[in-house]
Amino acid sequence: MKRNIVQCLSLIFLLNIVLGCSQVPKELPYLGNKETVEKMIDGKMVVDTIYHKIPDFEFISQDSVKITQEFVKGKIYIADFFFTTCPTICPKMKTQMLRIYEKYKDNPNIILLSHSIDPRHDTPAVLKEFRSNLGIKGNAWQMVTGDKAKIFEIGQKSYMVSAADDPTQPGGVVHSGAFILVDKNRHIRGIYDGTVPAKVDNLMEDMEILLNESSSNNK
Amino acid sequence: MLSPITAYKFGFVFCVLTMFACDSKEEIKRKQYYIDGQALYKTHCANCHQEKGEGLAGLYPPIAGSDFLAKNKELILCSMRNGLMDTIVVNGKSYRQPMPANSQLQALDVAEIATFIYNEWGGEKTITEVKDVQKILATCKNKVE
Repeated sequence: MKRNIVQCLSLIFLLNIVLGCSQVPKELPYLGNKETVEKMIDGKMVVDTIYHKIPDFEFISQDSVKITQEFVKGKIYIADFFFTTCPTICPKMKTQMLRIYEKYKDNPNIILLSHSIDPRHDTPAVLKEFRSNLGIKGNAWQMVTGDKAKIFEIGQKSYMVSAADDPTQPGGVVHSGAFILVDKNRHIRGIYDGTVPAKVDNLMEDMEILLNESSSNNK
Repeated sequence: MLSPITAYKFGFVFCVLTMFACDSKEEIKRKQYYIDGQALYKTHCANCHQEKGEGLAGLYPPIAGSDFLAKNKELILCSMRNGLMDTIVVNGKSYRQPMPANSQLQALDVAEIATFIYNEWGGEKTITEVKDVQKILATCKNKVE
């Protein structure tokens, strides 16, 4: 009898651990280099952590409208890098980005930001046609172009993805198929392979976590 | 009128015959082309046209259920290797996105992909022969080489 009670209790204990663990809200990491700085606050030295942050930017959208950091202010956004004539991974990425678009197109807190890495060909007019052929309406999914060096720079230094000219590659440009999840304060919270449906499922799960995260969580 | 038993016998003989037919050299070759073509399709075509050939929105035309297949086989074979810049109309809808060249594809690759596509979605039951592909590729208007 006593043994039964012990067994029963330990079972309940185990169940609590399992259930309890699954109820702990998952928190997303802050990616990129962190810096610590010492600050004087109220006459005291305080060590503060500065997280990697996407800097200010200015590109031109498919509607020939300036898109800057103001456009994504207070919103979660997903960035990627592509070009409209890319024969390799971009169509896969666009197929997956379309899934995210379909799910979140009516959510005012979410923006999709696709950067062209072939701005010479991908003028706003080309992007506009590409976008409309993909069936995209409204403002949720912006395709931007601009100064190539600036796009490559923000891709490599800020979004931490690779993008570079490579004449040996089909299409002449080598780039990663990453989708970068950026929070309301322009911190990178996740990087996902945008060519793999299962990874994009993970991204959408993480977007839900971020949506529930308070924006006052200012780091 | 055949008795049911005779009918079964005939049916059995027919089945055995088709089994042997399946093992014919032609059929083995067709299956080889089909399987290799499917793998090549996944590598070179499915990114845009998708694995089930349904295409993507207004960007990339469908291959499955496409009325373009039957009428434009030569153009399609040429486009696999040389790309396609022209606007095409598929099932009444215009597609303007350029198709990139895949100049690394050999005649055999093109023949295998065509065999897969036309067997899977074009109602064909035969191989697209390499020697026919070679002839067609030699006459393409939009050669990249």
